[in-house]
Amino acid sequence: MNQNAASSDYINRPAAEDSVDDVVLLGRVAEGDQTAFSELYQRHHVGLYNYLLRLIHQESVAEELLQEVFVAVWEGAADFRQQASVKTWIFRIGHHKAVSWLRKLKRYDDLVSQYQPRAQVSVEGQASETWRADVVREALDQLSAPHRAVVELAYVHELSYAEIAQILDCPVGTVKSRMSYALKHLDGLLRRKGME
Amino acid sequence: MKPMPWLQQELRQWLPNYLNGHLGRPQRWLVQIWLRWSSDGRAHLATHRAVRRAARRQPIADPDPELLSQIRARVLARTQPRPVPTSAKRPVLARRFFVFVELLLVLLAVALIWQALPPGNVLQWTHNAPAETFRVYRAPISEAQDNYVLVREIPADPQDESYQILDLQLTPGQDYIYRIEAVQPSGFLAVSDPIVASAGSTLARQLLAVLTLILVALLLYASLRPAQEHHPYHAFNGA
Repeated sequence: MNQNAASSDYINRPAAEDSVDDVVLLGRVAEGDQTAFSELYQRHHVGLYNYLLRLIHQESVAEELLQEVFVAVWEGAADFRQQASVKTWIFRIGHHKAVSWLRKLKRYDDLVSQYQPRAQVSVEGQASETWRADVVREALDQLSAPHRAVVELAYVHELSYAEIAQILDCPVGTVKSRMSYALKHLDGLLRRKGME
Repeated sequence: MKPMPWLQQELRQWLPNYLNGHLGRPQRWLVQIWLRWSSDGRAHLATHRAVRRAARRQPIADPDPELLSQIRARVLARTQPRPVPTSAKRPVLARRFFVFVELLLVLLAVALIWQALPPGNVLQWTHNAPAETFRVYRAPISEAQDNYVLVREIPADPQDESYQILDLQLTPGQDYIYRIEAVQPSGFLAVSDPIVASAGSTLARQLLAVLTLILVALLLYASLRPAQEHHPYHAFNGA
């Protein structure tokens, strides 16, 4: 695994740079165009790989899942109905594969039930802007996969709640509550580290 | 200005979409007003910004550069992407409805063709004298006039004066001459004048009928073909 300089721009390439729309590319993939398939892979593989890696924390597994996702994209390209963006569709496939893998380890369901919604308290707003980035990253690593997924998709991949809900296959309200409690959890972790 | 608690909670939940530019104009306007007047709102926004900044500063990992080649090898080992037949996506009831409609249209087409281009020769005549039976004879016009064969013998109906038969056993392109005999109760025969008719369009009519049958078969085959297994991600595409 190569480590690049951290930059979300590396993951979220602006659409204007892409001469051909993702939907057009996917249409060509459906017709068996390998060049279009390679282009689609180049556009999304880094973002998806990092998303999978941050949920699973194992490079070999993330790479295997990435392969499975793009094989599924190749096989399912003809079925894409444009009811979501291509990126959302690909990430949904990836997320489901990651969840399946985590469920085999009986980790995902435990993690979902670990954080039950409680009455809203205003602790998330108490964190200071002076947090150090490395400490926050460490705190991010301690988030459960379901909550980490929401934070990653919202902040790193700049997706809306509606798109995240499509990827996670859950109501938008669930996404909002997971985001809220992810922030609360981060705040708690950082407090324990004296970063209040 | 302090909005109601439920609205504050809603506004707090809008903050990630606000930061990413996913809010509509009215919602964005509400958030901006809230942030202008609420220190609590600004604190929440600061938290979201800090987490977003940290999340974006995480190291980016690249997968193995050979991964694309491995994926290509895997997809090449499989068949080409499978175009899903339209019929496979239809629900069962809708598919049966389409089969019914298609069948109805084909039957209608056949009926119209039959009406417009009736195959064979239709012979019509009237007879207002007593008769027991009618015998219809046919001979190719090119052969001797005595080479008649009996086409049909039909009983006379005392209540009816007009009669009709359909002669299908014709050779395409051949002209025929017909003669009708009325057998009277006394045993005498009343013979009609010879009638000339052509079977020139019979072949075209037969071809039309065959093509119609092929069309019916193809439509039924396309509609009744069993649905292929759905891709696991069809559900996401609204199937």
